[in-house]
Amino acid sequence: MGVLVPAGPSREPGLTRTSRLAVLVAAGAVYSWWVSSTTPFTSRADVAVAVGFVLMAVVAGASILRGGIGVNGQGVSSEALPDTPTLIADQPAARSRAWAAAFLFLLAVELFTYFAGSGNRHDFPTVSSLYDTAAQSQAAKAAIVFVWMALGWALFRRQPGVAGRADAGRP
Amino acid sequence: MTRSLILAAWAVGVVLLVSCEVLSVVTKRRYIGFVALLRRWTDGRLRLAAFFIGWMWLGWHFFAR
Repeated sequence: MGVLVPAGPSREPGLTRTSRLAVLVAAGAVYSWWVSSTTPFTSRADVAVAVGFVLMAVVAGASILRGGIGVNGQGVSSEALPDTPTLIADQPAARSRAWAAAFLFLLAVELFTYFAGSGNRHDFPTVSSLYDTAAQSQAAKAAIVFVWMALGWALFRRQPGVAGRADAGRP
Repeated sequence: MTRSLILAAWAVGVVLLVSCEVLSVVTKRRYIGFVALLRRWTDGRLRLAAFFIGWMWLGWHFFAR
């Protein structure tokens, strides 16, 4: 995944990208399993989730210090990362409308079920109630936590040279 | 019956999302993929901060409260 590529130009010698990825995935799996073992509305769950916040804040801070969240095109160039999309700004907004349509559809389903099913959540399951059902299995809950952490990671481990130009071609 | 219809609607939404990513891969990123979409939406520190707050809320809502 391109999102896991280090944002700064310097890379640690002796530690390949694959091994770093493996370490990250393993750490994420351990953390996810820990969070999934907690029960909501307990201080243990609060602490576990808060640790995730702190970890991601550290990632964000590290990215900022390395110029990874710059807005002036500083950092690694798009050419240096062939597995990541190049020149997002060159992609017309029309090419992301399918995503917008999909998210709007999901939002509509969520709103409909939320308002139509108050008092009858079984027949009108929202995302939260679907999650509650899935979270009865610790493995499923751990997988969801892992996806949540991966999403947070994706927010900060990005390609600043592209992100900084993303407004250029936008209508 | 109603539950089945709603679950089918959720499934359609998920299939739409997956289709968008598949379209991006098949067209060799001519159409934007999820990671690129995320980058576009979080371009700029204010937007990124807003997404980060949203991300934290998600975790708190689902796993802590």
